[in-house]
Amino acid sequence: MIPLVFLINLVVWVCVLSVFSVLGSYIYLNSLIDGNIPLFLIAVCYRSLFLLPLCIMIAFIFVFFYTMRHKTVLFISIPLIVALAGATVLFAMPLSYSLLGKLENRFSDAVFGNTTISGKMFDSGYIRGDSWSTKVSWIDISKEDIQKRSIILIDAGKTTNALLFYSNSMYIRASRTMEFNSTEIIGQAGGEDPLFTRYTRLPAFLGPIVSDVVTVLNAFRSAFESGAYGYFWLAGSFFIAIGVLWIFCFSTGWRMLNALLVLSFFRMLFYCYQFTVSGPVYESIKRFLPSIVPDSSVPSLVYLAFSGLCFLAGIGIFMKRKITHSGPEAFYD
Amino acid sequence: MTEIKRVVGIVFGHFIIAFVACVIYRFVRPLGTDIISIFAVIYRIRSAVLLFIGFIPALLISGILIGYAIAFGKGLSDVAERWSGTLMSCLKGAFILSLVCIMLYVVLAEGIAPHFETLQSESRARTKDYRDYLDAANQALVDGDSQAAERESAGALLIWKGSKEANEVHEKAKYLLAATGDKPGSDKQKIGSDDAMLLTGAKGLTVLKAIDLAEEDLKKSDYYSAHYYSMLAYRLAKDTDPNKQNALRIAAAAWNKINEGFDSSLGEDDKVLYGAKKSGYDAIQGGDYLKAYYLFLDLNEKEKKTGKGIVDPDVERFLGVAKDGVLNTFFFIDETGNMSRFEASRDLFFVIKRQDGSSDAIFIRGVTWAKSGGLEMAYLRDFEYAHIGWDGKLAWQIEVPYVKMFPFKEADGSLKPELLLHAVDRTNKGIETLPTIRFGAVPEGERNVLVLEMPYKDFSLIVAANRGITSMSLFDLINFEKKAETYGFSTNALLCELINRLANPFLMLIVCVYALILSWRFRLAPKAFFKAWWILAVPLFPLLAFYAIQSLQYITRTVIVMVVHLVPQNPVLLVLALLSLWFIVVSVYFFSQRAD
Repeated sequence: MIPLVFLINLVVWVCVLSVFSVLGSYIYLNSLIDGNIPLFLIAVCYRSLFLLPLCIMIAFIFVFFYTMRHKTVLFISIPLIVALAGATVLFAMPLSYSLLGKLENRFSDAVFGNTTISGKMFDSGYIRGDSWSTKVSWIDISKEDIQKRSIILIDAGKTTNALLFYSNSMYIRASRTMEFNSTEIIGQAGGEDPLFTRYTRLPAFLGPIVSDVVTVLNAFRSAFESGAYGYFWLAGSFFIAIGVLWIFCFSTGWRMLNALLVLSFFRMLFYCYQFTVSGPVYESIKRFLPSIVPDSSVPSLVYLAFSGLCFLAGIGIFMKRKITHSGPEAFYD
Repeated sequence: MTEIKRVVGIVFGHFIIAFVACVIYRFVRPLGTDIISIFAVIYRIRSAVLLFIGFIPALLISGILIGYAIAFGKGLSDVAERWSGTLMSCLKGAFILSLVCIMLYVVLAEGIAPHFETLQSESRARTKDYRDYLDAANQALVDGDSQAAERESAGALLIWKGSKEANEVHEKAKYLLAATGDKPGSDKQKIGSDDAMLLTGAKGLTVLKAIDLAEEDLKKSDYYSAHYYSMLAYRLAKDTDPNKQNALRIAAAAWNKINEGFDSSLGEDDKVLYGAKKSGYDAIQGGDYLKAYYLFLDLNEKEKKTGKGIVDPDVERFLGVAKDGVLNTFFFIDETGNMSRFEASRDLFFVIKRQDGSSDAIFIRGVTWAKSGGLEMAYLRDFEYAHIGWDGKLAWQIEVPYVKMFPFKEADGSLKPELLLHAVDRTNKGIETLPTIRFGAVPEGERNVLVLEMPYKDFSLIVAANRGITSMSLFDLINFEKKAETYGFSTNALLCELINRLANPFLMLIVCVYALILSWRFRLAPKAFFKAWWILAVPLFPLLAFYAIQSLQYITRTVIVMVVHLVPQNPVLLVLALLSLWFIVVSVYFFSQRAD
């Protein structure tokens, strides 16, 4: 069952994360709304390949949860999980990187968002605030799709003469501004529509999570592009750390708490990466390491050390429980 | 039952602890905005309540996760099979608990939260007003303008009576006033002075009733009143009405008597008085109520000044009639003296897209609602209006310091906002505020009174929409959604907000069932006791629940934006149908679980 659980979770998470990460991006959401399905699909493909390592990790976490709830033969399940992890790091991820490169070369505009949609002028007829000032709001009342726009602008910051009418304004696509007689009157008249930003904007707490994940995934890819040794060293150590999280599945007698601890530590692994590549923690670790060890190995060593400690602690606790209990109860205390 | 009680205890324990934490957090942290100390405590309390409301979904999910994980571990793990009645009864209990909590959340989120948000923004606005008044008062003191200083500091004291700073400035201003012998500036200001009330006058009279009154007045030798009522009956009667001629006959008889009276006036003074009354009366008949008002006011003042206590009833009555007429087209400048202190909304901007392709753009800096004689009205500060023709060119544009708005009944019975643009002084002829024409030529009929091409009731919806569609009530969103485009608001944005609000309780219910599934899957191990140190990990539950529900809400929001744009015909039903289906699927999934 373990390979099946892994594969089902992998497919589900690849689909969910890639589709919704693309929908959350204004350019691609707008392309879908405008009927530009190919652009949307290219973006989904690109994101699914980019997010593949993360989805593999999540699929492993769900395999761990599965082992928490179902009786498994350890001598079979553990080698299976290790084999799966090895296969993904050795084959699936390198393959995804080469495909990513091909997609970037062929559809660079689509994957990097340099499309005409990104500079599209807002739909006319609606009152919007302006990025310049919270006191400014405006409406384009032009009836036709013409270059010269009729704009009504309110500058509530002015004590008098707040309502202004500009009959021959011009939209500047490059800067997404509106100009009248070569003077900017509106700071943002195109691109991401502020009317819907509230609905498509990433929640504040997700920002750091996404940023941490992207940092790690980019690091994997950079390491792969720099050479096979560096890639296997970094991705391997990170996946070993993920694998060690399995120990937390049996840390207490309350499975819910165990699951929560696994998820929390999973998040921490991504969060801590930034401290292993720069900053005071990185510098302190470097001071302890012999000079022969390259700087780029610091993150891998930190993750391997974390894995080793967790593994030893897990073995110790399991042995202690085995002394007091027998059978499957030894897994829980 | 005991297990359900335990879950209820855990859920409400979450709520109580979180509420206390929110209150402490809001009282410990800086306010983050400028609020005068008189509003600070209540502002912090409301902020705490708003913060707590935002956390309710996560707290509920966390409560269910912990509560049911313990409950399932203790009571059900050995007996539950697929589709078991035990799980069914458990789901029933969880549904009831979830529904009660979700209803509580909806009431708080849709009822209390928007109200509190409005109060919070009012507190911020009042603080700004207070600071502005105080700055203006201090500046006036520096400039030696004691009246302005007294008026502005009185404004500040109206907001914060106990303010030491405002009291000091006010005292200084009063001292300066006493020294200069000026009248206090605040005496000039009254809110919607009683005198501004609409007089009943001849409103609601029928032709027959007016003729009866005219005949009665004729018998009493009250010829002005007889002529007034008979002419009123004449104007009210249709051409085919036989009473029309009758009314004209009485009017002629009364007029003859008035002229006779003028001719037989004995002294020169009587002749002057009679002449003034007649020209005032002529002005009323000619529809020039403003001229009549000042004439009769002048006569009235003169009578009072004689000190004899004799008041001509004709003058009194026609002063009232003239005032009635004036207030149909004008309003008094002193009505708006301190209106800005009571503004319910600020910086209102909307357009009215007319059917002929032209449009009106309106900007109002402040709206103050008022009621007079049971009639709803509003004062609009710094009113700016532009009419754009069907060709997209600006036709004309005006700016008015204050506008008085009434509901105006059209021939078809519909009510439209009628705006009085011309304000006059209550006592002095010639002092007035007129619209400033910024561009073009204002049509003759719209120089004093402007009727907006929109239903009157839509105005309050526009006010609500200008505060931000997120603070609009669900009821307002439903009412405004169909007509939003006419006023320059995006229907799609309103639909997104509406669907999002409707979807939220559904989403919470779905997540509650998911929480039940997780509680079942990751329940407490059989025979395991809840260990004391696990309490330390409990704060992780609401945190992760918050992350989970926020992520799900984010995904739902993006899907809603997509659906609203791709299926504009009926996106509300589609999204709710999808959510219902999702709910059914997860519920079936929950029933289908069994003991491992």
